[in-house]
Parts: sequence; C-alpha cells; structure tokens
Amino acid sequence: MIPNTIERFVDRRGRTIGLGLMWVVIALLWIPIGIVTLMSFAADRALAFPPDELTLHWYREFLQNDAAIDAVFTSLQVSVIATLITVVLATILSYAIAKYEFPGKGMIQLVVTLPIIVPLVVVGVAMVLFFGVINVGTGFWSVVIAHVVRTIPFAALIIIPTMLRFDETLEEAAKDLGADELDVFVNVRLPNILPGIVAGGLLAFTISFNEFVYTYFVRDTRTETLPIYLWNQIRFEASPEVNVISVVFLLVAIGMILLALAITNVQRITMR
Amino acid sequence: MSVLQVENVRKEYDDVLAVEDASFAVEDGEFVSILGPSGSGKSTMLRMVAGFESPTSGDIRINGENVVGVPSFERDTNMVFQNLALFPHLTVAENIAFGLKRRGVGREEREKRIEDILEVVELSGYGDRDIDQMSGGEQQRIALARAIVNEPSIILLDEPLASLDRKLRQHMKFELQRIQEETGITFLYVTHDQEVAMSISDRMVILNEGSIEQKGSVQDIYDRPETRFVAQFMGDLNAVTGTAVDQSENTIEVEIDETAVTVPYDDTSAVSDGDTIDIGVRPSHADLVPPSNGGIMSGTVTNHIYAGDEMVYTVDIGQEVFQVETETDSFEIGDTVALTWDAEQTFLFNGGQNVSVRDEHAVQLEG
Repeated sequence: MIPNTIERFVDRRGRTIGLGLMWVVIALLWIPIGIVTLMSFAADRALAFPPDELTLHWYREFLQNDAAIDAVFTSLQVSVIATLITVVLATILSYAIAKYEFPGKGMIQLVVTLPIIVPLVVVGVAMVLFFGVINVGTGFWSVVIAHVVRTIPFAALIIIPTMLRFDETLEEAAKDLGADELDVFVNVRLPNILPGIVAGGLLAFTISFNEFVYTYFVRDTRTETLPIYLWNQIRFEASPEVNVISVVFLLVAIGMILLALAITNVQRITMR
Repeated sequence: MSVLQVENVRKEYDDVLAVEDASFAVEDGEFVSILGPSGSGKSTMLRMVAGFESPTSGDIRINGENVVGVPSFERDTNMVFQNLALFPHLTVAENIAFGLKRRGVGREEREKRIEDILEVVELSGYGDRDIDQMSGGEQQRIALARAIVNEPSIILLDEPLASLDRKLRQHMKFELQRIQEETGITFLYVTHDQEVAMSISDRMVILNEGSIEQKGSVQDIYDRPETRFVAQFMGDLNAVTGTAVDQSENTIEVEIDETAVTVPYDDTSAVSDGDTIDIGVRPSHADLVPPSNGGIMSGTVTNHIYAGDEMVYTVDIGQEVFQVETETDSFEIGDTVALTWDAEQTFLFNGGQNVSVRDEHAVQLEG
C-alpha cells in the first residue's frame, strides 16, 4: 500500500501535479518543433544553436528550388488521392460492420488494424515483390496504393467507432418517412458521422504526407515525395533548407486541421 | 373498410415465438392501444406494421392492401419512436419537412403544412431551432408532428411517453388525445402502461407472451376481463384461492380455508364441484369492518399506507396478502379485522379463465 503521507500529498496537490505533468508532456512535444522552426531562420550554413543571425534566406532558396517545389506537389497529389481512397474504403467497411451481422464481425476491427504492428520494411519489400509479380512495377500509382495500405488501419480505427455510435433508429425513422437506402445514407447517416470521417481522413492524410518507408521501396525515380526529397538532401548535404521543409510539413498539417474545422463543426470535432 | 387489418400474424425469431396467431383490426379515426408487459410481443407487432420486421406468416392489410414484403419507405404509415429518433443534424422544421419532401410535396405547400402542424403541437415559431435546444416534452411534440404532417393512414406510436416524468406524461397524454381528435388520424399506440392506455384509447388489444388475451373497448376490458392475466394487468387485484363446493341457481359456494364464501354466478357449465377457484377482488371494491360486524373473511392488518384521501391496508388472510383501499382509518397494525367486498364486483377464475359472466351487467353497460 502507498504510505498515507504520499496519498495525502497527492490528494492536496493533485491539481498542481496534474497540470505540471501536462505542461511537461506539451513541452516534450513542442520544443523540438519550436527549435526546428527557429533554426529555419538561421543564417549560418552549419547548424549551430542558438543561431547568431535570423534571415529568410533559406525560404527564398526553397521557393526557388524547383526540385523541392515539385516534391511538395507530388506529395500533395499522392496524399490527396490516397486519402480519398482510404476514407471511402474505411467508410464502406465500417458501414458494413455497423449495419449487418456476419460471421467474424467481431474480428474485423482487429484484422483491419493489426497490420500497424508489422515492420514497415517487411511490408515495403513484400510490396515491391508483389507489384513486380502482378506487373504493376514501381511508380506513382504504386506509391498511391502503398499509401492506401498504410493509412487504412488508422482511418478505420477512427471511423469504425464513429459509425458504431450512429443511432440506427435514425435510419429506421428516415425509412419510415419515405427515404430509400441511398437517400438515408447520404442525407441522414453521412451528416451524422461526418466529424469521424473528417478526423479519420485528417489522420490518413498526415500519415500519408509523412510516409517514407513504403514510398522508398515502391517509387520510381520520377516520383519524389517530400520525405524522399528531404532524405536525399540530408544524405548529400545537410543544409538549413531541411529545416524549412520541416516547417512546410508543419504548415501543411496546420492547414489541414483548419480546413477540417471549417468543413465540419468545431464543437463536434472536439467532442468526439 | 378497416384502415389496418392484422390477420393470423405469427413471428418467430430462430427459436423464439414473438407473436402467435394475432388478429385484430383498427377502424378509421380510432385510437387503439396494444397493451402488454415487456416481452409480450407488442413492439414486434408494431414494427411489423411499420415494415421493419416481416411476419413469419399471416397478412397485414393497410386500407385493404396486403403490405407484407413492402418496405417501410413505401408504406402509408408513420411511426413515433420510443427514443423519438429526431434527426440531430436538422432543425425542427427540417425534421418535419423530411417526410413531406419524400412524398413530393412542393415547397410552398410544405411550408404551410409545417406551420400548421407546429401550431397544432403548440410550437409555432420554433421551426428554426436545433433539436438539442428543445426540452424533452417539446421533442415529443416534434416527433409527433413529424409523423402527423404526412397525413398517413395510420400513426404508430411505440411508447413515446415512457421516458417522461409523471407530470409531463399526464400532460402529454391529454395532448395526444387532443391532437388525435383534431387531426382525425388513426392512432395505434403500443404501451405497457395500462393507466395511459385506459385513459386515451377507444379500444385496446391486450397481449401476453405473444398472444392476444383480449380485445375490446376500454370499459369492456376493465369490467369484464376474460382471463385472470387481463384482470391483474388492468389494475390491482386480490386473488383468493378456494374450492368450489356447491352451486345453486344464482350463486356458487367456494370454501376457503374452511370458510364458505358465496359468490353470485349464473353459468352452471363452467365450474364443477371440486374445481379450484380464484375469487378476484379489486382493492377499491373491498372494505374493512370490526370483527364483531361479521364480514366475509377475517384477517390481521400487517401494514397501512396513507394514500391521499384514502388508506391502503394490507391484510393477512392466511394466503396471499389482501389489499384494501378504504376511507376508514380506524385500524392499526396487528388488529384483527373482517373483510367485506361488493359481491357484484368480484371475478371468478377457473383455471385462469374468468367465468363470472354477468350478462345483465353487460347489457346495462352497452345500453
């Protein structure tokens, strides 16, 4: 048993301790990001902290670098397409789980999310072999498919519970009032589960935008996503432009969240 | 032609029999309740009429047309759900408009009908509110309005008042009745609450373990229950068990723990000497007197509760406890008392069936 004095101390100072720990966690999450952001403004070519002088030089460099800008657009293309496919598939999957009874239904969630634990490199190699066997080879669409494979478990992890929380009597009520299956899905189910779908899509997009391992295996030389470009930069010369690219990642992520908040209801997102 | 005809409907789930050979009809403009305890199959019955479940066998006719196999979105029925099932992403007016849009009602007509129905349910001006801004009672009215506005042949109500507190339930009960009278739409109401069912229905169907025990007017069922189950379900009932020992022209003698009790009775075929008989007495038809005044049976007071303008006594008569509702408050716990009751108001059950047929009484009621 925990000695009484400790129990008493925690009882009295619980709020302070809790808040303190919360700030420690937040600091651990954000300090590295803050440093990277700060370093993106450093004038020196060699990475030294703290920077002597602040400049926008590396941002100009980045914007004038066609290869980097191309990588940003390639990444956006891959991630947007992969996210759309993932969200549609995960929604259909969770719709079936919520609505119908079938053998093995209880296992589905596990089967769908378990691939998260398989080492990325193993799946990457397997995919190269697989795409080779079915004559798809490497390239843009192989990267898209790989990203769908990578993001489906995460999207499903969020969309399935949202779908299960949907009150099925709403569907009965809508049908009772004259709506057929498609009408019910589009006008009743979808609006009510949209926050979950958007959250799932957001997570899928973020993971896809950061995806490196699968992409590294299944891409061709023309398909250079931003993480791949970043990797090549670091490998050959670690210029402060790398920090700028990190900030670009951050901006894309923040942009996605703002977009999600704009198309759904702020309250609902935070509630769920 | 009846608005709704249920004919020999049977519903089985795997190995459970939910509804067994049920037949009843609902006429145009009627308020009919299906009354039964939980698990009696009443909700299943309603869901089969709505089209959410298919009967294993039997026919369901709406305006004469067999609707078995017709999906709910093509049936001329609308349901008020137990949990209301209002669409949380739509406003009050949009909820009510949902059915009208699917029925192809034009915008102008739609807006007019929504305004009219909001007036009927006393929610004028609330059309633009969100559902979660409305109170429980208001949500009930919206759910009702959403169904009624479509003017279907029949409105199906699945215990929509069950979740309300007592006071609001009393109020909504009268509101339901008023709205039904005002709109003239046929209502089929499912409930386990006999008090609600009795006060708002024209006719009732009593369901027990999937079978119809009795159907008829409210008064008919209350005054002349065909079975002991119905009598007990319709109100508090004391049942005293004894043996039939002797019958004369208009009475039957029942021996209860060596006390002979005479009960009016005029059907000589339903009881033989030696049959085990239950005498059913409602607490309000019984009374207590001091033992010196005679009485039908004697017992000991074990409890008394003050219930407004009367007392409810619990009396131990050596069998099941006997409850008496009376204005007298002169007895204490432990007192020996004599029980009396209005012999004309008793029921006689032989094997669960009510055999105390009193035709004269029945004629009086119907005339």
